[in-house]
Amino acid sequence: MAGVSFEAVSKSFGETRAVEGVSLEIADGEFFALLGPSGCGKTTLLRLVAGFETPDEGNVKLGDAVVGRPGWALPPEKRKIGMVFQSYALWPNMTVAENVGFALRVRRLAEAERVRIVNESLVKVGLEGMADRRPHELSGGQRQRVALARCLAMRPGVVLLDEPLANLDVHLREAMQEEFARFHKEIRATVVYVTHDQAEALALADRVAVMDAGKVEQMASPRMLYAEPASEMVARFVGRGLVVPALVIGRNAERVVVDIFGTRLPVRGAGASGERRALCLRAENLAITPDGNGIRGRVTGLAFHGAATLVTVQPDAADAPELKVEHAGPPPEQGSAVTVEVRDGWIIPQRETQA
Amino acid sequence: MSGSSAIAVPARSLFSSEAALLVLVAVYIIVLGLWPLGRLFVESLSGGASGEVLGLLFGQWRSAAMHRALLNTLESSLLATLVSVVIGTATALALTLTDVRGKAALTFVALLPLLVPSQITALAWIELTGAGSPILAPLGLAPAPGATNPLYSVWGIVLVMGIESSTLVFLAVRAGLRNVPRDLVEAARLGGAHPLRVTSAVIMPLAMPSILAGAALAFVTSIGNFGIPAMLGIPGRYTVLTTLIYQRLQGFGPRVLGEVAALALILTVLAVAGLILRALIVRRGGFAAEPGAPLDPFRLGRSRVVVELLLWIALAGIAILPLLALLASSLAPALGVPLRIDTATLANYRFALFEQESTLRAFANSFVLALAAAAVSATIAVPLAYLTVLRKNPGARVLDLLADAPYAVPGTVLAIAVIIVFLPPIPFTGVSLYGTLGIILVAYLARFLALALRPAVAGMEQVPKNLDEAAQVAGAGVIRRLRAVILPAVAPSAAAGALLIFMTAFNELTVSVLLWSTGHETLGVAVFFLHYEGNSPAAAAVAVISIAVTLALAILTSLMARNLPQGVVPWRA
Repeated sequence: MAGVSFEAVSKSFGETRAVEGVSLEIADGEFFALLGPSGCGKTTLLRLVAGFETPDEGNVKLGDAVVGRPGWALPPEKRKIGMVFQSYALWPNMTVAENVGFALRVRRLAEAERVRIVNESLVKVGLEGMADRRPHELSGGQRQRVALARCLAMRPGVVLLDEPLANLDVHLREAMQEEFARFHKEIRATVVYVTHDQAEALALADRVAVMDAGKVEQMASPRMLYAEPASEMVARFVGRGLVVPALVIGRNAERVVVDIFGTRLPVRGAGASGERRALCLRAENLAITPDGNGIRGRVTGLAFHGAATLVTVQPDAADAPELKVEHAGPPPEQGSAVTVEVRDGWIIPQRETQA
Repeated sequence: MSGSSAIAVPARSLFSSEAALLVLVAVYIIVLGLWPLGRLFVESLSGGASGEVLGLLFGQWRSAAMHRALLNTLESSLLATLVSVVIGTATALALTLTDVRGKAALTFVALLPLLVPSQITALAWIELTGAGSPILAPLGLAPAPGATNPLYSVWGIVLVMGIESSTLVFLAVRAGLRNVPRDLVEAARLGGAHPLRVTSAVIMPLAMPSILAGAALAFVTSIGNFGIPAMLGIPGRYTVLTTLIYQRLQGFGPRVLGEVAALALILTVLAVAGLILRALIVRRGGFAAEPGAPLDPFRLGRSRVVVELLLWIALAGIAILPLLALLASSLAPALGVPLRIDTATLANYRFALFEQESTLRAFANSFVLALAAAAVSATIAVPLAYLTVLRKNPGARVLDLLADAPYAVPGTVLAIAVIIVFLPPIPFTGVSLYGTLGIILVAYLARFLALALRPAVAGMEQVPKNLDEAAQVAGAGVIRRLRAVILPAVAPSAAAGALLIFMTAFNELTVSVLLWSTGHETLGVAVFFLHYEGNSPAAAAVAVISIAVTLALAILTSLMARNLPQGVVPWRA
């Protein structure tokens, strides 16, 4: 087994800088997610680990061994890495068992041993009895499981998952997420999971690196990422946070007091009096109160979400963006005047707002 | 858990197995095709006996025979191109834009000349229009006995060569018409234009680049044609460059290699000029269009039956009638004896297949050559297509382009190039390939790789890249991946390419007529000489058999083509 590390790695395709000066340390046995919008460079990072790409600058290491440096990369077939592709990449000319056992055949494992491992892997993903099927006879979820079993059978130290749930129906995704979590617990391999779906990353990973435009915006545990986003991009991308301009007024015990749209509120974070800062607000930390302290505004939209209603409130203050409030119980009327109470907020560090 | 704690990094090897594969393919293409062609050009530009700079070329340039042959080549090729444009465009328009019935059958007949090799097409037309024509004589339309066949002339060459290359124009125009955006036509019709007006004002201008590109291809093919000018022009004393080269080599042997190399260079310049013209037309004339929604055919209404009748008469006259004449001649008891049900005989077949040893040998030789050329070419094409398409290897891309060169030049040119290089003994062995089947095989391997490469590339483009990557991750090296993952995926396309090569090589004449030797005849050579020696019924019998083999293989390929990606089978819709 081995960890994965990037040391100031850059990679361009023509004019496009896909990855720019990325340094990452992924610990042995960690479940690590690379999260970001499409084109952010997360897949290129994954392909650098697999050996499909050669870095332009910097080193890629598996454990202590440098496997990629400018101008050279250890070929993928020599890395002993497992990978599950977005489109599963099952070989259509082989049966399920042949797909799963291919790597073992390449390694010249004795037949009895091979059959044992293949069967074991198929049982683990719940596909016993499917060994002789062909990929085209399987459903999307079953193909995904074959791809996983194929990866399991290799007993890899490092497993790469490239948007493995992107092609699945919504109801299958949750089941497969559990499968991945169980699979990670069982084999204790280092897992690198690429996704654009923040919910997947937060649910599965020990740590998440949020990427944007080829750079790592923030690397932290899911909880930290959610509670203390390091940039506006992270605040918006993870948990769909709302970023509003705020003026720091002073301190109150452990909290910083800010002014948003003419209302004074205590929030988390750091800031000196007089600074204009970006504040991250989340729908679940806002509440509609009949009276009390808060931002005054008018209800401009209501969307029923089952357990709660998402209420859109337009603050009375000029130029203020709409606030989305998660509200349980009977919803306020469209157009009525309400007060929005802010229960929690986070001052995004080191970024000026465009006042 | 068996996972080792560290990944062992092997020493950097100078050559990865992928690079080794590339080198192997490169050596194959260079030794068989590029090196001979390069030598030919060097040879043709040398001083010759006089030692004068470019002496050989100037020597040929000053010769009256060469002048006449060059002018004849240009004259017959340009006129034949004109014929092919008229026939090919008219057929393509009728079959693509109208609602005539039986399009599949009509298309098959229109493309039939593509499957019949030149020398057999010429032979069939000779039988059809000769004094003893089994079809025209009973109608009283045949020339008087003893009269020269009217096809032994420039007009005969123009007609037959034009018909043969009309298939190329047909295919180009049909593809072009399919790319005409449907909404342009619909807009014109909503504007009140009659279908004829739409065709002339909207469709024809859009199809013009395709027509011109098809015409350029027909011209290049006509320039390189040997079978038709040899069968019709030699008796008619109408010499073109390919037949001039043949007659020189036939008459004087390898000692005139330098002179014929100079002739071959002139031939190459003509062909390359045509191909460059075509490339320019294709590049400039391309209009962006969404393929997909095909044009709605115009409804012909009551005139449909008339158009259908005309099409059938024209196409049957062009493609089927000569073959029927050929078949009838092959059954005729003797030259000049009229064919009736009671006089029909299989004696010619018996003679060709069982009595004349050389014909039987020619069947065996062509079979072996075609099989070897097909199998080896497909075997080389698959890894080259893999390196080009899936690995995006820059070296392989260059090779992919270069592999077309021996197919793009006229067959006559390639044959001379191969003689120049493989006439002397191969270094370190003392063995010369000249005078063996080996030299024909070398030429076939060089020439037909392009035919296998196109289907292999088209098939490879359908293979998802990550199938290869998944096998890489599983630890499989390049050979292993080719065998276990890539080959199963592209095998049908590669097999279609191999069938194409077999069909082409089995009837090949242009190259083998310059390379054959006693005991090493090909089928094309056998038909050519049986006719030359005056045994036309036997030649017809051999031709009928070889067409039957080709047609059977073409039908097999078409059946396979249903499950193949676009672009694998050239005549497929």
